[in-house]
Amino acid sequence: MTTSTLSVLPLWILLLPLFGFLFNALAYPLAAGGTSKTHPGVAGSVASLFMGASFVLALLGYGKILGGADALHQPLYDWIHFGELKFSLALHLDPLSSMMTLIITGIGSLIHIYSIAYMSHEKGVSRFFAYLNLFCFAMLFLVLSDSLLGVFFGWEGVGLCSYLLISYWYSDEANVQAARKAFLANRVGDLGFVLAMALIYTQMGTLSFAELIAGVSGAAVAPWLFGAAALLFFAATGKSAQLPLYVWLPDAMAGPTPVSALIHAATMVTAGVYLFVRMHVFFELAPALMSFVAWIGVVTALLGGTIALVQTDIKKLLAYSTVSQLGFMFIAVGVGAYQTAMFHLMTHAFFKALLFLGAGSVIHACDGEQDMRKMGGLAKALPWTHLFMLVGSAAIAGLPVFSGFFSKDEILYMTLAQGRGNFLLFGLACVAAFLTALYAIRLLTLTFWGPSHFKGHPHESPLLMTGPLFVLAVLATFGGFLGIPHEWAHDAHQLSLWLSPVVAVTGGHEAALSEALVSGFAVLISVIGLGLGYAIFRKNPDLKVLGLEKLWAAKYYLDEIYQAVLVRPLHALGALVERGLEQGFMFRLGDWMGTGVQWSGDRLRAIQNGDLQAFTLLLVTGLVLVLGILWTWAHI
Amino acid sequence: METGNVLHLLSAYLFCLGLLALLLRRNTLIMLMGIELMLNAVNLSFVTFSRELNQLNGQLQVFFVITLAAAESAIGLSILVNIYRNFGSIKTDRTTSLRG
Repeated sequence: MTTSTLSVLPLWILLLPLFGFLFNALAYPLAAGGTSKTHPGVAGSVASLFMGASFVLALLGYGKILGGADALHQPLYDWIHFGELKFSLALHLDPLSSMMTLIITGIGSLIHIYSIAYMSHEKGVSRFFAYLNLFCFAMLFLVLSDSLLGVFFGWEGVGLCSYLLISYWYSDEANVQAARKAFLANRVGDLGFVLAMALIYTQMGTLSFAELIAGVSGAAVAPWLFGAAALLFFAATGKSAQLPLYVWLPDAMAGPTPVSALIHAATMVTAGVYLFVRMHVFFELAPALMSFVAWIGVVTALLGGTIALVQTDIKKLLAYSTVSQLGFMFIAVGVGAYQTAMFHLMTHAFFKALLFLGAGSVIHACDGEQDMRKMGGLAKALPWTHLFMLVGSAAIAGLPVFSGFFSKDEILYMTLAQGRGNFLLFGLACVAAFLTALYAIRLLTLTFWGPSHFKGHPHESPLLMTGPLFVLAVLATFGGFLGIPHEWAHDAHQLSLWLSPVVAVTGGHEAALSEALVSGFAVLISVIGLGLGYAIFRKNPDLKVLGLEKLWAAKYYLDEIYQAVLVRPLHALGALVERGLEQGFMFRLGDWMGTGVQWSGDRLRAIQNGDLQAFTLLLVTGLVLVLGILWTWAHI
Repeated sequence: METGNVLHLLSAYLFCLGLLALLLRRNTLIMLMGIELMLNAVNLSFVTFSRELNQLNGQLQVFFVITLAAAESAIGLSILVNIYRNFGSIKTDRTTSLRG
């Protein structure tokens, strides 16, 4: 059992973004006389400042844990205390939360700074920064909470901010539709979370992680535990965009690009992975479910990868790529390689934020154009963006030295080394890795290299945008060195060591292939993918593979299936309720109540005859009745 | 019969008499007198209890009731004057404008 030090540090990490939110949501608009009069420079600088300060505190917290403290703990207050029912809120900064906190505040700060320039042409930007800060607050709450209930609070908070930011340009109906879709898909998942919490509480009487994990350690596998784990997984598929609930993520790209980078790539969508890692002791008790999770992960990875191949919108391509990469994380989680999942979560946060912000820079340069077929040949006009996107693509494709190389190869290796992995899983994951290289090169070829189709004059983005890109590019290049495989150097996997107090390395059997061999194979796949992709897409942006491209372009008809199976029947049911219950009964009920009152009033007015003494008689009769009742009551 | 019981019965009798005057007589002046009678019946009851229980509270209460009765009759009489001015009579069968 680890000991924890009392500290207010987690609280301040959490509160600073909230202050930023209050400034941009209340103080600044009030002082400026309306949100529309706020200046992006001021709003953005203050928001970035608060995030930056939060990042500094997160670094301090990291330093404290590095300096020997097992965890920093800060009880907040007893949220619900009602008889037997007791839920306390407390913040807990252990190595796992510390890592998440650093990612959120670090990448969050960079994206805030980037947004100052990206949103500079917009009006009323303080609303944007307020939402962004609120999101960071909710996300930090999610990772710092020491109980499922606190996580759920953050979980809902990030969902709300995601909704608000997707529909940031709310005057366009498509954006609002996308936001609603995201919100509803998340709600479906959240139902699983609520049910899981209820189930766990009835069985264990607590929702605190420490007590839960202590409670289930060494417990026999119970059916309820499997149910709770399955419900939590269902919740995770909603938030982390896995099958069957991934459909909202590509549509969520309707929001501004920094939002896509922060929420829909680096942080929020990884909440499900975080939940699994946080409660891995719990999930390990349901091994059959975890195998299923791995399979869902690999199918999602393949699905996302194939759809990404035929996207024409640069952000949609990246969105499907995110779905695919999240699939990779769930493969790692499913086979039980939790530290590997966290490793990929981190490197993915680096390179996907880089790719998204790079894409934002491209869109900014092309005056809001998002269709890659109308770009091309931008490498000359955008030298820096080109370079950074090159780094990001190399990282996602997994070329050696770049961060994705270490993390993705580790996942591939773990599908063999872990007990629940097998060769089929490994093979399919390799196919997904191949697809990754293919769509990465497609993005580069269509946007930067091929013939130019852009009519305007693209311009390189300002320093405020390229600066954060530079930092992210450095992280995406060197971030992988935190996880050098054990096989190559002893105790070199820094991340795994760092997480070891929270995430015990589960024992795997001896893998059939050595990690070096797997790495070599993965690099070979990437290089083939990149080469083949370059050869194909240089000439023709549209891919033709046995007619499968039509299926991919239609996104496997999943949206249509959901429309037919879920949305339309629900609409029909709603219409039925409206006609039958509402108009047939509820409305009439109102009428009946009105006429009933009128009728009885007509009858009762006879009593009100205006005679003073009749009133007095009623009064006295009433008094006598009351006294009589009281007297009888007392003498029974 | 004991004096106390006689006084209680008398008090109840007077109260009922006052109530009947209030309920049955159409003349507002008489109705006011009925109310006075009821108040004084209560006073009598208070005093009797005070003597029986050897407590001064009852007698004290009577002074409050007398004060209240004075205020009440002042207000009652002024209302009565207004009734006469508005309806030309002080009989209650004329004052029925609150009819529903």
